[in-house]
Amino acid sequence: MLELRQIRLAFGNLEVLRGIDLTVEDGEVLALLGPSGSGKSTLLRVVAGLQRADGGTVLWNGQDLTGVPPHRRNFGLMFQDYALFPHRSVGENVAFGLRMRRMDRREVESRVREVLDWVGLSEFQHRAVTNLSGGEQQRVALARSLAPEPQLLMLDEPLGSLDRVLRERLALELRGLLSDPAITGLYVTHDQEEAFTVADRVAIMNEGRIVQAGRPADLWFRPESEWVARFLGMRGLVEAEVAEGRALTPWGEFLLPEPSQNRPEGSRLTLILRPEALFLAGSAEEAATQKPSTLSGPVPKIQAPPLHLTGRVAALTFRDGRYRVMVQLERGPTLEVPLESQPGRRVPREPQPSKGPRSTTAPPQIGDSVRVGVRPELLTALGD
Amino acid sequence: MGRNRPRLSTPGSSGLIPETGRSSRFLRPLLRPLLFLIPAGFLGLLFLYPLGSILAVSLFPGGDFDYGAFADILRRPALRGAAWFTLWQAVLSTLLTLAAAMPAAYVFARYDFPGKSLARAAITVPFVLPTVVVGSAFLALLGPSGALPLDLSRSVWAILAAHVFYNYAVVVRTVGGLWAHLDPRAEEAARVLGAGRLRTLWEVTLPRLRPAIAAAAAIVFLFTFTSFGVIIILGGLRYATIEVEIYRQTVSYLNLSVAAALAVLQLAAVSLILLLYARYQERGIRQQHLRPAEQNSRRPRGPREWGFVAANLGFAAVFLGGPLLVLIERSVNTAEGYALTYYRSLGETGGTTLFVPPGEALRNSLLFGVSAMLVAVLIGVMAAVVVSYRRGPLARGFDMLLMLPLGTSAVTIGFGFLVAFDYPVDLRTSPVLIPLAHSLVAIPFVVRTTAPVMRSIRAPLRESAAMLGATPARVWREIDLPLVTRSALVGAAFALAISLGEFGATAFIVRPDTPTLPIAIFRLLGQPGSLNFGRAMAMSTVLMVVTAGAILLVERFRVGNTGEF
Repeated sequence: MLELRQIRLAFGNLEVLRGIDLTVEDGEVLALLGPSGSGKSTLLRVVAGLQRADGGTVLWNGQDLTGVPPHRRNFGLMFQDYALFPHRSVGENVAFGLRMRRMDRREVESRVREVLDWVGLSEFQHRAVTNLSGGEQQRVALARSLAPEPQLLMLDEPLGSLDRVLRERLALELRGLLSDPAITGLYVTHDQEEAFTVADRVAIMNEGRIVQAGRPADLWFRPESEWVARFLGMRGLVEAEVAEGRALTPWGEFLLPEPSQNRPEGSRLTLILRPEALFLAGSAEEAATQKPSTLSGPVPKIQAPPLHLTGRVAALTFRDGRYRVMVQLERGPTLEVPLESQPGRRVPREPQPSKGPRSTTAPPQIGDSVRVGVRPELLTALGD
Repeated sequence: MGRNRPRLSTPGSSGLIPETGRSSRFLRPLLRPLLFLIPAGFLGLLFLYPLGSILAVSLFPGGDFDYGAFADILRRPALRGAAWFTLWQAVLSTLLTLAAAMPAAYVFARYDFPGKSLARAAITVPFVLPTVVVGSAFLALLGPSGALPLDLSRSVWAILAAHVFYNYAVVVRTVGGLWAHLDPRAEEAARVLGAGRLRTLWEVTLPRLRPAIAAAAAIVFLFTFTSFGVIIILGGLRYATIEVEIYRQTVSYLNLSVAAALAVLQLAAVSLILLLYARYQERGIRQQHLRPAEQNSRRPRGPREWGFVAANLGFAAVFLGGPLLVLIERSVNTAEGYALTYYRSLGETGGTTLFVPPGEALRNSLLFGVSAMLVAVLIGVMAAVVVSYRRGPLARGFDMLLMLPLGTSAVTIGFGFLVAFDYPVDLRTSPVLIPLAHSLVAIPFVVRTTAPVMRSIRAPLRESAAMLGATPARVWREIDLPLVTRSALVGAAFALAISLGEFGATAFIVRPDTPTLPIAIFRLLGQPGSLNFGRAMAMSTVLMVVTAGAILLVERFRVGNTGEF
């Protein structure tokens, strides 16, 4: 078990780590997630022993590691661009840590083959590391850090330099490799999807502090501060005042989520309007003629609610099989609203310029006025 | 992924790797200062002390302060003339070299053609040739009994041609090196915006090449400003540079104080040039977007482009290859037709004033060369470790001290040895001084080939070795040493080539009975008779082959484009 107690570090006047307390349980992978410059890589270097902290202690199974040099800690560290030894082959890279532990040559040989097989590179043992693809280098680096069976494996932005598709695939592979057998790991990244994919628990860092730690779902649904919510990509944050079970906001009114409904009248809170809590409630013209909307998504019981936000379609994008509508609110910012495709309904090809009255099943067009409904059950308040 | 899961450490127990080998902890405080003190002491004793001695001799010739030597230089037209000639021939040589080599730089940067890498290696050969060989080659081409019908050997044209010949590759490689990495789309953008070819060259290409052009011009100017071997062979009595005058004042007139004053003036001029150059380059530092060279070059298209490429390659072949071929031809062209007479006669002393058979000079040269190489690599690698692993003002100052011998002419180094090592023990005629002087010239090259490689070993590489359990000493042995060894071999070959061809410094400290190849060639050229001339040509050919061999070894060992030479 790794325990960090009040780790502090400053470079000159710049406080990089401002009292970090953190625990990583045996067999648990913890991701340090934060923007660049938040101190996460420095914290990793402190744990590795490559950087001496100004204050605080690093404990491994209760033993203070202060003064233990990096080469004696028996921790593995995988660097951002892998730092493979260019003058050694794939096999020699993997064997390095074993040779440092004075392992018998035959044992080294079999262990190297075992580990290379494990990461799927058994054919690569005698290849030069200089002409491997990014994904292959990443696996060699992983094999090299895992071969000596480190007590703790640290990974510093291991997928940082790869393209998006490869990153998503390798993140999943890493998760598989790290969870069976369970490896104790510390994983640094600035990419929340990567952190949520690979780690059991995520600690979000900002300006040298851990601002919130928890399981991915907890962080997503219960961000404790506006900074965390915004860092996780939530744009619909709004100040609200409680009035008769409704939220009065500068953007408009809508129903309050259950847990907040028994708040006293007039109290203030910050609500998060995530895309999944929003739906298109039909065009403004339809609202005027009081026709029920056919675009209200899989919760059809909610018909053009009396409480809704109004705005205009600012942009229409298509990704992962569905349209997303960016709605510029009349009295608020631009929010993303998913446009759900209904079962059996073909997603229309290209929004055609309308000739005459437009079909209500087509996606809205840029410039259309729309109403945005809010699902109170998917609404959360900061700190709830 | 794989079938077998590896065992992993079970938590519990301390799990740390036990400490091994404590000896390094005791050795380190002893070794570290030595790494700095040995090269510093070497340079202090063999470089700074001689320079100080030169200054002392120029200002205190009889023990008392006397600026008469400096006044002499101003008063005597011959000395004033030497200073003036040194300057204008260097300016002219630099301009001519740029004019001759810029089109070739363009050809190598922008076009792909069959045999390109071979051609690039071939044009580099003249640059690494000993000055004496270049002098002999141009004497063979333009001299009184030369291949061409006109005798230009006593004209300034021979000197300028030899300088262009010598420095052609500097411009092609320095300017062409940057040019090859410049994105040609900037020129295309200028053309699309309405600029003509010349306008584009003037407003887009040349400004972008400015740092490389300035660097190449500075190097060529420095080399030609301190030119010695070429001028003493081709210039005759009419043309003398400051270097030649230092030699004459020392050897012919034994006027050490005037020679010292000339050396001081020359050092001041070189320092000024280097300072101005550093200022100029500092002002113009701009990040340029560089691309891999392969993306910027293409096959020539159409007869105009092919013609341009062919014309430049043809010029290089005739201008660079011609003198060397004539040199070889002269070495076998005897009165009785083509024969190896001159080569055979290298083993005899007959008909010369040399104390030893010319062939023995080859043996001396190899002996000095290998010793100089060993010293230069030992001291150079130690110095490179200091400048690349340490930071701070001390390391920076040390770095500059290491580069000083590069800006100091070989003649000044040799002359410094001569005036410095006469007291308390007279070492002036000791053969030990020769390899020491050679290594002094070679050390900057060794540092410049190894230090960049050491610096390029990024911290994560060493840190991952440490994380995998390597002790600091083990990290050095497993990571640094293997990566540095190759570049040290490159530096060694350079050092050997430099020592084999070194003439300026050797001329001052050589003993009559242990001449080196360049010294023997120079002496043979100064003696009458076609046998001596033929022998000089034969020895020049031998020296050319040996030096080119050492440089070919360099190209074999070189990995990628690391290092700065």
